[in-house]
Amino acid sequence: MANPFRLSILAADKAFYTGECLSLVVPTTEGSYGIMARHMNMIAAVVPGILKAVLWNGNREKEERLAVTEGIVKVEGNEVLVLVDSLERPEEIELARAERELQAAKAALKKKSSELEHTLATAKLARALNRIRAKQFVDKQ
Amino acid sequence: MSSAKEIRDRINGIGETKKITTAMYLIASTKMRRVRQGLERTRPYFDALRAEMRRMFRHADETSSAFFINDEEVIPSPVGIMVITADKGLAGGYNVNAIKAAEQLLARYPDSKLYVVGEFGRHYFTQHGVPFENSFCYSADDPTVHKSRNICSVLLGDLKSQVTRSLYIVYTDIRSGGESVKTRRLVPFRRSALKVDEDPEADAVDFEYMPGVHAILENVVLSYLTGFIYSALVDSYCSELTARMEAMNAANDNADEMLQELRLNYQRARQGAITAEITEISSGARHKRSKK
Repeated sequence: MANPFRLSILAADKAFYTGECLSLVVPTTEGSYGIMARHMNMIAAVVPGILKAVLWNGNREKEERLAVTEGIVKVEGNEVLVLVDSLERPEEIELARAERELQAAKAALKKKSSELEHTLATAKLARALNRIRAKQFVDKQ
Repeated sequence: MSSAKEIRDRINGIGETKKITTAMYLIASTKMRRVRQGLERTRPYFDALRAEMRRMFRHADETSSAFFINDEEVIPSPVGIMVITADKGLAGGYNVNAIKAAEQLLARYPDSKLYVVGEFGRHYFTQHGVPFENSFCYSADDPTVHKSRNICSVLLGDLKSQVTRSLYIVYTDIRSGGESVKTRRLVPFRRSALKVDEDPEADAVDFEYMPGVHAILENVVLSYLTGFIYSALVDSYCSELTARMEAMNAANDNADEMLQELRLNYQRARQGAITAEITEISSGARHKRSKK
């Protein structure tokens, strides 16, 4: 028996999804965190990783995997709100480009530069790795 | 009275200028539509984020973060000031107003550090010998979320390394009808400022925070500031374009007026020349006849 709840996924440049959902797994600072209907109220910090959602359109379920970056997830009264800086579907990711970015970020980290540049490079590295992981995960299936 | 040829050249010149101002008007209006659409797409995200930030601030009791202060504390200096100007002039009083507001703020906090967006502002402050951050070089044209994030991480980097300890932003707001220059403090947030439009029912819901309120705040503060900077950039850019559209409209009207007057003068000069010529010919002919 399907037990759906409301889910909104918003990224900085687009509103990705608003509708019913059966289950949701988000990458948080504490590790992957699963949410189902009637979850207790909570707010958690999202870190770059792969978000898995089983969407529900009334009679059929559809699984989505998304590469997400920093943000927050909020559960309030059986409504879930996911706010992330950016999100990408695996089919939008170009493996070659992500790998180029990965190399660029690694090179930038090797250079002993300012603290700011180091932070930026680390974030870039995390994003690139995340993209590659999301892409490879989906391609395997 | 100037000769008919001179006037005709003048008419042609004004016609050319008018073509340029009309084109600039059209460009400004198209650009504005596109930027507006970009802002509309990102609105839901930043609005939701702001609401969640507010809620978390209410729950975070002690001020252990550099990002917010109690009401009785003074604004820590040195202050960072980010001022948004246009890349070029020809936009009425838009640039002058923003720069004036920035100078007022500079007078209040003499040891502040300037971050200037837009070529016009950079040029102005160079000319007037006001020091500003040189490596901070961003164009005001075509604001994107990506650009705002870059700007934001530069500003946050300076805050973290204590080069600046608070942050102001001077931008031009367009929402409240017409343009008006706004000066806002981004960091630190004052606790009371967040409680202004608090509705009493909001606090009734209890949340579990993972891993903790402060950690979550640290995680999203970049996104929050990015959102604010992005909407400030878009607002300023729209104001710039509106100001430019108005300026160009006025220029067009002026050109039309001048053209009308010049055309009249031209006709007068032309007719005058013809009349003079006829008089000359007829008097010459009469003279010749009377000689016979």
